Amino acid sequence: MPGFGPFESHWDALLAACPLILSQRGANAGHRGDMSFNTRWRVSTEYCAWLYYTPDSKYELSRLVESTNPTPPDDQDERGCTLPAFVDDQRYPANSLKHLYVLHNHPGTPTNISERDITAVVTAAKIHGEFVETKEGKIPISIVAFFSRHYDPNPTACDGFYEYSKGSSEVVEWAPDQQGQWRREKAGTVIWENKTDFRFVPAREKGIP
Amino acid sequence: MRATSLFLCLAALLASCSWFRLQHPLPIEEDKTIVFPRFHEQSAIKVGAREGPYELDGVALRALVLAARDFLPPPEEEQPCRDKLEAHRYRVIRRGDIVFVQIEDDDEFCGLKYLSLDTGARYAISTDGRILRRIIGAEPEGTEIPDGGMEPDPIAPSPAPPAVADGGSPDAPEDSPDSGTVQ
Repeated sequence: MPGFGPFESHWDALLAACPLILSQRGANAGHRGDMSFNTRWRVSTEYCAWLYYTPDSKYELSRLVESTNPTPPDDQDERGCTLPAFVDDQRYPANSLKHLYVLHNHPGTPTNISERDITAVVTAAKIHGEFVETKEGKIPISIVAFFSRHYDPNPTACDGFYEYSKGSSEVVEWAPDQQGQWRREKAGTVIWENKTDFRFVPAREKGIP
Repeated sequence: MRATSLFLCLAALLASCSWFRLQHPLPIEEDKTIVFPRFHEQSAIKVGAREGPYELDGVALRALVLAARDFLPPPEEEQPCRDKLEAHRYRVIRRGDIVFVQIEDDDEFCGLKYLSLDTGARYAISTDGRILRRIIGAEPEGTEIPDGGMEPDPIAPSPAPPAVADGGSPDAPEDSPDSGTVQ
């Protein structure tokens, strides 16, 4: 993505992509209990992109995609994002890019990785393989869902993200603590029944019965 | 009836029925007190996974038809691949008087050119054929708390495993607009 990156580590790239994506128009509707949440939710949008690894051993973000998927004609609640399976970066030879993270936002909270997100990782692994060799080591192909817990006072603030890596038995929530240190917490269990079929049991979100 | 035959019959029914083209979109009651079950929390019984018959009662079939009819564009001769009935996967959970239906994109059907994130929809359909609620995308979890405030009356998820119907076998991929640096 022009003007964004490259990054030396995948973690730096993730932390930079989070506020970038959440600052897009309609990317954050805030918490469902917030005042005027429903109004914002109706016009909210998901954005998606690839985080990929280049032959220069750098991490780059593809252009953002805003969903154009067809939805019922009366429905203003269009959500979801349809991400092209391959990045085309003209600076590098075809097939030299390694597709690493599927990035997107969930406009409303509380949220979690969705079952369809896990299905998308399965599909991504079929196309690109389950692991990418990087200078940081072997990284599994993964999906990330960025979120913001509140709309006010800063609608573009990144409050954390959910991450699921292909083959893992855990969905993880990453969020900064009061000192600004990023902490991980288990957000759900994924049970694989075969290569493609899974069960997903989310951990109960705080405040949700 | 073999699994694929069952699906083909359903597809033919949806594609050929004139009423599929008539009223679109369908009326939706938007009962936000309804809580959807998690469609992947338990194993699904996949049509075609084993030999032998699968039975779908008329109430469940009608719910599937209603959901597909509401969600998908009316069939046309030159249908984009991603709009086709066969390019989706369907899960069904019945809980009391409600049939819950989940529709997901089947990216393999159209040649694995795209990854679908939070696309598709979930429906709660009464056994008398009314769409009680529809959710598009990754709606926040928990029961609805409208801006005006309303106490929920949740319906518990079904303990029964969902039934799943796939979208058939892949056909030729098609071209679709790309987004610049991702193709």
